[in-house]
Amino acid sequence: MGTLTRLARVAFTFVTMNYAAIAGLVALGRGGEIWVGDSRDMGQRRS
Amino acid sequence: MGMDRVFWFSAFVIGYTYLGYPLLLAAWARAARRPNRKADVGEYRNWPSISIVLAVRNEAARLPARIDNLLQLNYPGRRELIVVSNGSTDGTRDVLAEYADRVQAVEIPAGGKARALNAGVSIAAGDILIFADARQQFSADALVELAANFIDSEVGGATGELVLDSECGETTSSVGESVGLYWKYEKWLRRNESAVWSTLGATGAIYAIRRELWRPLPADALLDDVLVPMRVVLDGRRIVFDEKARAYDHASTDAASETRRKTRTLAGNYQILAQEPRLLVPVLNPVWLQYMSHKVSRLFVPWALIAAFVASAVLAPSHWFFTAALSMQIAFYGLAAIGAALEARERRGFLNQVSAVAEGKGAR
Repeated sequence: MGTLTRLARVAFTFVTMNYAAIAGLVALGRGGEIWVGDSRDMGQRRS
Repeated sequence: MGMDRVFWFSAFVIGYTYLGYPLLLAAWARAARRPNRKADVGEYRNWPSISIVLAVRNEAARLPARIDNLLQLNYPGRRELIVVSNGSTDGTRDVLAEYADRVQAVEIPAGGKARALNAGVSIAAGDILIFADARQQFSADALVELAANFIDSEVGGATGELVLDSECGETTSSVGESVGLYWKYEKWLRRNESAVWSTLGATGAIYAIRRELWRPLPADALLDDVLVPMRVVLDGRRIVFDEKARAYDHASTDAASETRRKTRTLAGNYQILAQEPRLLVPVLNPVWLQYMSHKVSRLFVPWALIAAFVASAVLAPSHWFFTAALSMQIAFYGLAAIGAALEARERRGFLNQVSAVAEGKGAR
C-alpha cells in the first residue's frame, strides 16, 4: 500500500472517529434500538 | 471572542488531546510510576473463587467454541460460568441446554446488555467477577493473570488486553489496519494510566472486579466497561491494565460498523457524565485530570475541528498564516475523502466477490 493511500485511510479513520462524538450525542438524544441490540453489535467492546 | 482566539483555543483542544496529554502522561509514568503487587502465578495457592459472566444475544453459532474456551482455561481455584441469554431467538437456548451440567444459564427478555449483566451478577457466588463477550477467545492463562492482581488490596479491578488481528498485520482490510493502529495508541494510553494509578475504564471483552464493589447498572447503560470500573475508582480503588491476560479478536473490516461502534462509545461517554457526575469533580475523582484529558476532551474535539476550520476560513484573507492553516485543513479533509472513496471501493469489491461466490454456488 502506498504512503498516500495509507495516509488517506488514516485521515478518514481520524475524521469518522472524531465526528462520531457528534453522531453519538444526536443518537443519545433520539434514543434507539442500536443501544440495546444484538450482541454482534455489542460484541467488540473497546470503550 | 475574536476569531483568532477561537482558532487558537480549538487548536489547543485538538493538540492537547492527541499530543499534549500523551506526552504529559508518558513523563508522569516515567517520573511517578506506582506498580501494583501481583501474585506469582506459578507459586500462588490461595486463588479466589471466580464467576465468569457472559451476556449473549443470538450467538448460537459462536457459543459452543466460546464456552469450551472459558471452561478449558487454566484456573486452580473454583470457577463458575454464567451465561445470560438476552432475548435470543436463535438456537442459543439449545446450546446452553447441552452445557447444563457446567454452565448456569439465565434467560431474560430482550432488554440490553446492562440488564443481562445485572441478571448474571445477581446469581454469581465468586469473589471475583470476570466479564467476557461471545466473540473473542482468551489466552490459556488469562484467568490466573487477571485474578493474580487481586492480592493487592488497592486493586479493585483488572482489565486484560484485547489483541486485534490487524495489530499483527493479519488483516486484508484497510479499515482493519487503521483500527489496529488506533487501538495500539489507545492501549498505550491505558498502559501509562495504569502505571500512574488507574485506567479510566476496561476492555469490555476481558475485565474483572471484586464482587463487593459491584453495583447494579442502570438499565440503559451503554458502556458497562467504563461505568463499572469508574465506580470502582470513585470508591478509591484502582483498575490495572494487565497485558498478560489476553483476549483475541478480529478488527472491524468495514468503516460503517466501526463508526457505529465508535458512535455508541462516544454516546456512552456523554451518558456516563449524567450517570456519574462525580467524575467531573476534582476532589471526588482520583483520576480527574486523566479523565478530563482522555475521555471528556474527545467529546470536544469534533467541535474544535469545526471551529478551527471556520475561524481559519474567516481569517485567511487577512494573514498568510491562517491561509496556510486553512489549506492544510482542506488538504487533510481531501485526504479523508480519498480514504472514504477507497473504503467504498474496497467494500464494493468485497460485495462483488461475495456475490460471485454465491452465484457460482447457485450455478452448481
